[in-house]
Formats: sequence, C-alpha cells, structure tokens
Amino acid sequence: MKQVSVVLSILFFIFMSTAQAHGPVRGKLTAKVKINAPAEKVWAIIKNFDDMSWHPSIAGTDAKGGNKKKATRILTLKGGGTITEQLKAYKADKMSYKYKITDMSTVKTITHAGKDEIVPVLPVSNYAATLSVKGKGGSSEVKWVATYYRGYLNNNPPSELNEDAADKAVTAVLKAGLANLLGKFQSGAKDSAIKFKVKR
Amino acid sequence: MITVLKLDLFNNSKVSINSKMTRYGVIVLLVLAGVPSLAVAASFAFISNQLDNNVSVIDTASNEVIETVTVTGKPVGVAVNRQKSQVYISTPIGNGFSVLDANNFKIKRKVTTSNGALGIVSDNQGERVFVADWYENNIAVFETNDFELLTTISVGQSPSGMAVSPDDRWLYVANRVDNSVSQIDLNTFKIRNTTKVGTHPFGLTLDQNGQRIYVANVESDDVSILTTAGLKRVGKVQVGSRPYASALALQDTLLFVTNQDDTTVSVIDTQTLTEIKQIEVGEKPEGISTHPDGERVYVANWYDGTVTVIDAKTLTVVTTIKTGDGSRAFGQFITEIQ
Repeated sequence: MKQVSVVLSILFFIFMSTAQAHGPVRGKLTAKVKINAPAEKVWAIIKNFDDMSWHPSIAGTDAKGGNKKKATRILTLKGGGTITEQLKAYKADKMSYKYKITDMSTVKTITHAGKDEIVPVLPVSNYAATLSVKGKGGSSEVKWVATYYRGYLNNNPPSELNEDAADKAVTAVLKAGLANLLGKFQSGAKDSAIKFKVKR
Repeated sequence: MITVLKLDLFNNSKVSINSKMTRYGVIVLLVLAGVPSLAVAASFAFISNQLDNNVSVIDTASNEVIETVTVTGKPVGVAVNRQKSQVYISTPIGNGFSVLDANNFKIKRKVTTSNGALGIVSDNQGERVFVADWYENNIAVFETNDFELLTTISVGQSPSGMAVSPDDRWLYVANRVDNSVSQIDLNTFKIRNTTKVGTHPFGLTLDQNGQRIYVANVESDDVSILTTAGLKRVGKVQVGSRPYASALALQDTLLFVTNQDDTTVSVIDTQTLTEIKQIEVGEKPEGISTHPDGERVYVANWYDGTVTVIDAKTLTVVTTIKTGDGSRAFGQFITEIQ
C-alpha cells in the first residue's frame, strides 16, 4: 500500500510539473460592456489619458503630455502603490487609445527557486492595453483589451506570479473600471453585464 | 555548385557589373543547369496563430489564406524545409513540434522534445531540424526522415532565435537571458564562440552569404550586428520599442525589424547601419519573413491577427491579410513549393 501511494504521489508530482510547465505565452484579456448611452457621452468620460478619476481604484493621476503620444501618467492606487503608464497611440476619431505599463511599485519580495522575486502591484509583465468606445445605434459598446505575460517568465512560476494571478488581477482592474463607468449611465446595473474572455 | 556561384556573384561587390546584369546572368545559369526557374515556383507563407491553435497558409501570389490547419499546443515557431517540402511548427504547450506536409497542408506527425520548445530552424540541405528549448537551455537536433533525436546541445539561458550558415557548417543562436549569441560547430555540436550583444536578444537573422548576423534585442530596443567570423561586433542600431525579429530584403541591402510595442517595422540600411524609415503595420508585430523574390516582406501581427505585406522597394504596405488570433510566426515562414 505504501509503495502504491509513493508511486501515485510521484505520478501526481510529474503530472503537476508537466501541467505547470506552460511557456510564458502572452495572454489577451477582452472585457466588453454595452451601455445605453451615445458613444460620445461615454467617450467624454474616459477620453483623457491624464484623468483616470472614472476608475474607482485610482486615487490620483499625475500626468504629463495630455493625449499626445508618449504622454505619461502615474496612477496612485487607493489600495497603495503606483503604476506608471505611457500613451502609445491616441485616435480621437475612433474613440480609442492604447497605453503600456512602464513601471510599477513592488508589493513584496518572495523567495522562489532560491532567488528573490519581486511581486509588482499588478503581477504581470509587458502589459499593454487598448480602451475604446463604439457607437451602436443610440447605445455604445466599451471594449478594454489587455495583453500581458504572467509575472514570472521562467519555468514553474510561484503562485503569486502565475497566469491565474495575472488574469485575476487584470480582470479585477478592468471590471471595477467598467462597472463604475456603466453605473454612471445605468444605476443599479449588474457587474455580470461585463463580458470577459481570456485567450492564451 | 550553382548556389555557390550565385552567392559569389552577389558577394563580390568589387565586380563593376550592374546588379541587373548579374542577376540576369544567374538566372541564365540556373536555366542552363536545368534548375526550374524561381519565378514559376509557388510560394506559401505559414503563419502560426498562437491563440487559435492553428496555422494559416497564405498563397503569396494572391495574398489570400487558402487553408487553415489545426495545430494544438500554442504554435509559435515556424521553420521551412524546402528540400523535403516540410514545415515545422513549434508548440511550447505541446512539448515539441508538428511536421506539416507543404504539398497537401496536412500534419504528418508530431515530435516530442521537451516542454519549452520555441525557436526552430532547418538546415539548408533539409537533413536536420534544430529546436531550441527555452527552459532546458539546450538545442535538440533531429534528422528529418524518421525524426530521431541525433543529439542535444547545451547552450546559454533561454535560447530563442537561430540560423544555419549557407554551407550548413554553423548554427547561430541568440541566448535571450544571457544577452549573448553563440556559434555552434555542426560537425562536432560544440560551441565555438559566444559574444555579448544587447539586452534579451530574440530573433536572429543571417545574410545570404553567411557573413553577418543581425539580432533584435527586445529589452535594449536595438539590433546588434555581428560578423560570423569570430562573432565580432560590427555595430548597433537603435530601433522602436521591444524589437522581436528581423528579415533581410533587396539582396540584403535592407533589414526590416518588427517593433512589438510600436505597431511598426523599422527599416535599416545595412550599408550605413542607420534606420531609414518606420512603417506602420498591425498591432504587436512579431514574426517577419522575406518572400523568395527578395522584394516583399511579410509581418505577422499578434494582436490584430493579421499579416502585413510590405513592398521593400517602395517601403509601403501592399496589403493586410486576416489570419487568426495571436499570429506569431517566429522564424522563416515562407517557402517555395515546386
């Protein structure tokens, strides 16, 4: 019996290490929400790169460069920490802008595989996102697409820096923002109105 | 023999015949030698769509997707074996690579390597295929008849882009985490030279004479240029944000580099080693390959799920082709089929 359980646990271990041996593959998380308001009105709230006050998790935005390409903003999070972002593209006619994270504050340092690993406030690497609004008759659809790698780029990531941690954290950011935006037009709307799709 | 002659003619820049004449001469020689003219062979681009688990086959004559082949395991790397009409697709989550028959666009078999298979390249004779393992820090060498493992070569950390010399004597590899490029002797399978380059080198391109190496450094936003002889550093050119890979065109006079985070391709004059233009392409451009005609450059756009075709003479976009989600196509992905 003992031998069997040893064999089983070895098999389980092998299975687990294979299952976790994902290459660091860039993920694409798409969040969409329909809002019963004209696109221009929705866009008016989110269009300024230097103003993230529409997002409930952001305490302040310290920005430079307005809506010009390469403009920067430092977001101070209500829960503590900062995220620095750079504007990569701005298309007023398409009601869309794209940005990337260039720096983040550290939440903690963990030891993994004998090395110190930094856990940033958003546990992802090479994060970029596009926020856009499209008119659909008198209503609109807001789309927020984030692309990122997990925080740990080597094999067998720690739980703080794996794909699940990355997806959860990014989903939370997008959800809180879109739910608040939706609430400005439709009070009492449910979070379930926001649709998520993760592809990796 | 013919290939060697062709290379010599192109290589000898001191010969004062104009290049049109030279090219004409080569074509005549090829026809005389009974080699089918390059112009009549059909060429296809094989685009790995990482998020859709498939490969789009583009007929480069019409620039249309004529087939979509299912390849599970998050396909990333692409290598072509023109001699055997095979295409190899690395599948990091599938622990190896798939062999696609370029004549009927069907998957012939799957070969298991280890769990970080990413960079992949075939030699010019089509006898061997090399698979770099991102995690295991090695390169697995397979023969291309029964796909038996010949050997495994230990290299630097996180090997990624590779290229084989025209005479199949040398293999060059970018070691991403080591910030270096290594030259491997394919007779002994031993490393002969290693040189430091920029930060996180990824895609590696060799010119057709096997003289120069171009490597895109993802984190230092530049391209390092090395000689193959002794891996000497010739120069460095600043490009856009997070360059991924590169491809040479117009008889190696221009180098095209994908800038992942800028939605652009940088064009570098390989004589002066300066960036002469940035061309707007799709979002998250990654894999890049030049058509056998040397005049059209194909770029896989990961975010858009498209391929942008660039005219290397006019430096303009010819067309954009819808492929699949997460088009990555890391490696040489265009081949001729007779």
